[in-house]
Amino acid sequence: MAPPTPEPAAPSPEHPLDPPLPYTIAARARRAAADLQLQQFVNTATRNKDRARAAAFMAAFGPRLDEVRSLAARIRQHTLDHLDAYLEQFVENATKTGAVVHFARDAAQANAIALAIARDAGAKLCIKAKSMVTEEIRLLPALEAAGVTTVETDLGEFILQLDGDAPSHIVTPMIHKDRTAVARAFVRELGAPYTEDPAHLTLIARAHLRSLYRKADLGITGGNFLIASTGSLVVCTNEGNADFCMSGPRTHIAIVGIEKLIPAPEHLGVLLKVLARSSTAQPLTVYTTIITGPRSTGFQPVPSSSLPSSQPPPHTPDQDQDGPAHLHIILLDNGRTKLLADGADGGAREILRCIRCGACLNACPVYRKVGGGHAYGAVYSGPIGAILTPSLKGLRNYPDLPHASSLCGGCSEACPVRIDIPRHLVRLRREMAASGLTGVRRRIAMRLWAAILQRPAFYRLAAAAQRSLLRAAAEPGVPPAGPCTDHRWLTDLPAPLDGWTAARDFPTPPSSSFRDWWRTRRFEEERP
Amino acid sequence: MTMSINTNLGEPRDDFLARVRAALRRGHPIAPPPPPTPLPPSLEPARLVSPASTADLADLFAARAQAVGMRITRTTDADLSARLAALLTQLGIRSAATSLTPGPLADAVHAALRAADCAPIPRPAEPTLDHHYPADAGITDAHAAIAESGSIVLRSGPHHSRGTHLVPPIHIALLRATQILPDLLDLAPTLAAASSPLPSCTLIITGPSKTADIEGILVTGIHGPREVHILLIDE
Amino acid sequence: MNVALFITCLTDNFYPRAGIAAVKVLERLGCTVSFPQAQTCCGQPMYNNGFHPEARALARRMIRIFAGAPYVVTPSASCAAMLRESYPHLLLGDPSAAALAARTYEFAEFLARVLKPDLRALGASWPGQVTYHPSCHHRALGPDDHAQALMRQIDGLTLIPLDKAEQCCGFGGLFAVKYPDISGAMARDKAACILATGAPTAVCNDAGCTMNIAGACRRIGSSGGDQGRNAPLPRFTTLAEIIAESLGLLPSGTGFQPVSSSSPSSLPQGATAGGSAPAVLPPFASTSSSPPPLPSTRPPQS
Repeated sequence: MAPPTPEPAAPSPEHPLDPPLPYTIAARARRAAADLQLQQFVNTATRNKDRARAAAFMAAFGPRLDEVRSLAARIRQHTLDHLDAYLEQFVENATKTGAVVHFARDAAQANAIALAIARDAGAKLCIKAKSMVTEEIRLLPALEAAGVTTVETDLGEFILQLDGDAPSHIVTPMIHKDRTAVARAFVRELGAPYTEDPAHLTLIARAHLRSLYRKADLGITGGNFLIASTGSLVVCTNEGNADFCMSGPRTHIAIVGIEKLIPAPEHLGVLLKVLARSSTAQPLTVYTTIITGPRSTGFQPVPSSSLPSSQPPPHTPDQDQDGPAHLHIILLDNGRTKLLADGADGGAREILRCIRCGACLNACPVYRKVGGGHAYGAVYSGPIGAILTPSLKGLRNYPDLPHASSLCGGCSEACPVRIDIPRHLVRLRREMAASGLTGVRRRIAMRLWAAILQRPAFYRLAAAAQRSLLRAAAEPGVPPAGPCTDHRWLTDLPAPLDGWTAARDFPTPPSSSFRDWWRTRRFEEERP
Repeated sequence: MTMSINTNLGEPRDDFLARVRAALRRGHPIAPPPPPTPLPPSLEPARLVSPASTADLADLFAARAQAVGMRITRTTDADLSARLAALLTQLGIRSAATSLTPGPLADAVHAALRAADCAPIPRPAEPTLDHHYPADAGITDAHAAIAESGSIVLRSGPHHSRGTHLVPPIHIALLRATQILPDLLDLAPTLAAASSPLPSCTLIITGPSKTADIEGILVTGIHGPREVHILLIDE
Repeated sequence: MNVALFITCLTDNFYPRAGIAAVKVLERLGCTVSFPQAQTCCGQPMYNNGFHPEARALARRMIRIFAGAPYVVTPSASCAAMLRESYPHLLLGDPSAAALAARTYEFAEFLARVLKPDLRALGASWPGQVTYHPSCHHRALGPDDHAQALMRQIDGLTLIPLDKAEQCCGFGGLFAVKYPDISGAMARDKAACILATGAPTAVCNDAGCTMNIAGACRRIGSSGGDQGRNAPLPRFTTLAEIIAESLGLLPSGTGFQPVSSSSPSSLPQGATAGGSAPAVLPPFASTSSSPPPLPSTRPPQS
């Protein structure tokens, strides 16, 4: 089969996840609604995952399902409520293991630290695992600008990098791309023969990346968890690419948000159980790697353990065979303390519980209809992104995100740590209304409406007026009906309500209301 | 060993931690915070597998490991070397890297390698994963296993590379049934620095390397091995 | 048993038959139903859009109006959720909000958890096929969706499963107006799933959902979007109406229908106590969204 003509990578005027601000969702949402192929991909991918997640939880935990979610939620909330203590504990323990811990107030600082480490290590080639945080701080452009060639190793991210594209989902980054796009990218960028077979494409990527693994002098990852009592870093993948990044090169940098802390190893078990099930309906990701310090260079074992005999014997490290000589952990704030500070009931602190499983994205009908993450105009997309992005980057910069939701609650039902996302969406809407970010027209309309609803006589009058107006404007229906079911239909409402009839017809009230019926029921034959 | 790198490019540690304290509304910025109240009394609601006999755990582990795509061969100490040799021959393995604690198990492995005419790859003096790349297989023992998830647990150390289970296209792991823990919750003592320093790398492996990034189609062996074989040595 | 009815502004004005049915069923099951006339709206639109001072004022008003009622029953899941879940947040620390929340039930929930009727023993009969759309607010009310359990007690009623039932229909209040592309895509998806069941009747217990989905069905029908579909669009009804009809408290075969003058009207199900059965019009596929009215062969209804 002759390969189709490869097309050049389209130059993007803006990075999809870094658009000009303030960002409004309308244009991308409209494009996505018209792109049936995109709808198809995203719908299939997410809905199947959502159902698989629900089935996996039910199969594993059965009736204890919500109890386990509450347990995971409690562990995360407790850690956040005492984050200062746990952070100090982590820093102390991590430093004892031989890791160097750095503190980044914001993205610029984090990049500066990473660059300084890279420079000091004389790094020329960096291999990197998928990490939302590194997207958040735009690490790659900073490294490239400093002359450090940086290659994404997660297959999806690798392909997106070749295409100059950006991830559209926090767990499965290229649900918006199909195999032909991958084939074309490999022909164009790697000089590979054209093939659409996913297995062959995967082998091409594997071979290419392996040649880089052997040459890389710097590995960068994020972190799924940080364990305070041991100073450990936990990284979970299915591909194993992170392990190459953490074990091959001389220097390993882990950049991790401060909210990723957990108190002790026993809590890791609970969170791992819900993480992989929520994310990909598995009991665990294929590789769960717990890193405690860089390659150890030999020291005396501490005598006798009090472990029960069924436990494996204590490890006595001497000198590790391999592993990085240097481990750097960059702790990132970048606005998280702002959320942490809102610890009131229903406040933003709860949002930091997020373990980045992606379950809310998979459950969200809005996410499906807008064609995935790019429509959110930010690194964090989906329901969690709708509350995290405005909180981190400013409500006035992302005024649409809190409102572009029907508050259906699918997300909070899916969340393994029970973040009440709809409640936060409403809170952000409240903040917008209170600070004048909601439009003047809506403010006036809402206040007028509320005032009418305060007085039953006004309410009845307004209802009657609405009924007459709408019915007069409407085309008659053909109802087999009486005065309570003789609805008419409008196909064209005027602005600002024309959004409704852009997509569907609008039923008018019938000629009688419930109150009418109640008032007369004692005096008339009941014929609704 | 500390880097010579200038860490002042980051925020000073005390400023960073002070901001966190301020967010949590602690009264004094410098003094250490009070210890947190202990977490929920029990994590047991999350337990999925209760303690059981070695035989039962072995059966459960075998089933779960198989369910995540690993291939299990049950064997005994007496049979081990022969079984491994047969497996190596069957898989066409000509060279293998090893990460094994010195002892009878390692001896049995080396015997099997000889019997299968399979060349063991010597470990280099330098800390590099390079020697694994040409290998047909990586052979490791295991530190523990978890029945609940069908996982094996490896640890780095003087005799254990971080790459033996990862780089070659086939990973063969030797596991004793007595090493199998019931539930992920039971791994906590292994991960805690209760009495001895932790290894720099603890690995929980639950299947062969895989991805579904291309159109959701599952492909194994993307970076790590495409096949994981476990020789489960019954009690 | 004294029950105060919270009718909700949408049901009062747009779907009064659902409220009428609820009253009749509750009375048939032994309740004395009162209707505090001063009620207007629970304040959900204000709350959802972030206008919380205004929502709070309406909430306090509702609490006062329903202060004496041992049970507050409403035919709308979203309004029940507003009172149960959101009033305590809106009026944090106010015991009267918690007190009202504890006495508030959605209609199906009230039957299933408090009245516990044996509809079969009462002779409930409603031969026909229905499909059921569970509105999103059932998530907030609790894990069990009682409507299906109650419908299964009715002789002759066949429930046809709805594909993607759990996916939101896209109403969301002002969301439907402000984000027409997203909301429209969700509504079309839901309407397509409902039409695909082939059920002549769709049960939906939230007035907002019904307006949205029925409107989307009608738009699909009139724009020829349903691929030359000859079957009429389904009739939309509520659980309360089905139960009322099944117990002979309301005539069946009447009720809300997204029929346009250019699409075939539906055949009523079951006996019709009043009103003649409309003749079936030939199918008319139109490409415009506002087709001109066809001359009707039906006798005009008075």
